[in-house]
Amino acid sequence: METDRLIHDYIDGNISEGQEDELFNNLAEDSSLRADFKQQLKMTSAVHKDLTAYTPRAESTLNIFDKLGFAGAAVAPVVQKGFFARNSSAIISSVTSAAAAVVLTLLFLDPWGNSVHLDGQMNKFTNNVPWVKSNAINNNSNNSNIAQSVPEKIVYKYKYVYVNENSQVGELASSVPETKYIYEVSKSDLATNEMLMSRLANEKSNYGSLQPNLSPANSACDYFVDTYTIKDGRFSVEFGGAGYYVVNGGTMNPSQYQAMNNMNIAAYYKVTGDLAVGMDYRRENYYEKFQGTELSSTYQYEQNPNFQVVSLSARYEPKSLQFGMITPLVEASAGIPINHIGAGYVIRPIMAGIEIKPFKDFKFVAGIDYSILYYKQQTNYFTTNKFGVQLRAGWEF
Amino acid sequence: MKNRYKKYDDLELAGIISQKNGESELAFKELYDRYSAVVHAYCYRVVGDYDQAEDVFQETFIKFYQYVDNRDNANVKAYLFKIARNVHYNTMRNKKPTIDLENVENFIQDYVSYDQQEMNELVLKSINLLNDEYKEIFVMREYSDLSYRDISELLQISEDNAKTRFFRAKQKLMTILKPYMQEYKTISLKERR
Repeated sequence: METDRLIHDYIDGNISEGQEDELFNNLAEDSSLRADFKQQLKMTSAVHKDLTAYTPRAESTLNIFDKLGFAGAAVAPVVQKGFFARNSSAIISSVTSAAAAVVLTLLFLDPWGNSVHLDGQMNKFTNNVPWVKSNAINNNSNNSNIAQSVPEKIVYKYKYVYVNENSQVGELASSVPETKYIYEVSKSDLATNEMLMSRLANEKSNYGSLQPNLSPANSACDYFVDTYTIKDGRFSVEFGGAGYYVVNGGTMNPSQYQAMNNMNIAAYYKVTGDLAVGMDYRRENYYEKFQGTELSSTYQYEQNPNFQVVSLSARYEPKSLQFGMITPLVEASAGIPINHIGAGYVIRPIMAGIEIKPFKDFKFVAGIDYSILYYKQQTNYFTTNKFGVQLRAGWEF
Repeated sequence: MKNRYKKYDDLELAGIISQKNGESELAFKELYDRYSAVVHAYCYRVVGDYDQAEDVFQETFIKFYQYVDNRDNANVKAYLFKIARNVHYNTMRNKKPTIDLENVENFIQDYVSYDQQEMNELVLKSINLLNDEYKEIFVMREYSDLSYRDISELLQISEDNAKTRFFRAKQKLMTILKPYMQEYKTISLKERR
């Protein structure tokens, strides 16, 4: 068979193994055949780049749907949806995040300070280990300076246990390694919380940290086991979601991250009482519309770039404006898409909103978010932007 | 939002469309998304006149919606091309004259600056220089990726004949492009030095 035909059949995908061997042997021996081969490949490549042929005019599409009595949904399917349908992704993701945060907080972070951590270790002493009382104290009482420093929070967790023999006291101390203090108290001390706290403060000033007080050596006495952790609330983690609207028209119709688009996780560190810096990771979508020229024809391009963006952010949250559990905040951030490094960057000049703190250490954040994407397509930069509502749930520790 | 019609094959979609009920529109849209590009490519390159090509393209899909029936049209893609071809030949009675090969040299000389984009453009314009018989099979196979079986049914020829005709169409194109290709190669070599 002629080599021209073999080249043709090879590119066309209709060649047997034996013919393929014959073709490549011929190509190896003859440079002019190789030139012909390249020429045919170029021709095929040119056909596949013929965008004009493969792109129906928008008006043709609209005409077809119009003549068939359809709603013209083919070019840009714009479905009129209700509020929930439009924002279902953000609502579901936010509620899911908030629920997850609540569960985790209740399980691990003890928002009300009711420590029951020692139960398992204490059972060998008694089957009646009542937890007595818990409390949380904000040690920083200098309210005039509150905006300048981060308040330190100390959470005390303690239990009242009864041991029958003095020898068990030592065992108690060694078996509860996180126990900082073991105080002798009488049952009468438990009558009021004030008395208990006074006793506790007195013991701490006398013995300092890690000094268990194991006296007196009574054969039967009551002991007060105290563990405490210092929490300054400098760190916080937030989970959230968002619903966005494209500022320059169009509708985001992401090809990726459809289920959890515009979800984010952020970590913050308070450098002062009012100012926090943080890092933010989010999966997000944009919509972008621009014009370009191909083969002397001008095209209107629409695309939905999908990014995983890591941003650095600064949040200002003036405590002086705090009203009850609500504190206003503003935030700015800048980031880069980590799955397309060098392709562009994202700036969020402002998120304005509020922090709602219904429980200790646990918070909700709601805000209006504005975001600009600078995106490089080949050699050109394009800009698109969006604004939306951010809903987050988080906790401090 | 996921399009649940994506999971249906062509025949199932044709069946939904033929019922002309509330689901027909979405089923039609799905088939339109699947085949509008290749059908448009056929109309655009075979008809030649771009406005007329758009008319043929529109008429094809409208007729398809009106007449599609999954019982009779087992191959939806081929059916679309059959309609397109019929619409084309019914409405384009005055065939656009093709340029003879003798004119190719002047045509090529219009190109002064050589780069890849012009190379692509030249290939595309050269397709218009093919006679209708070769142009049609070239577009069906190269642009629309129709199988030889579908092509043979559409053109009422044997599969072997379809293969040979497509090969000859490409040979014609190569003949048209050869002088340009050689010049392109020479210039490229000079530029590299």
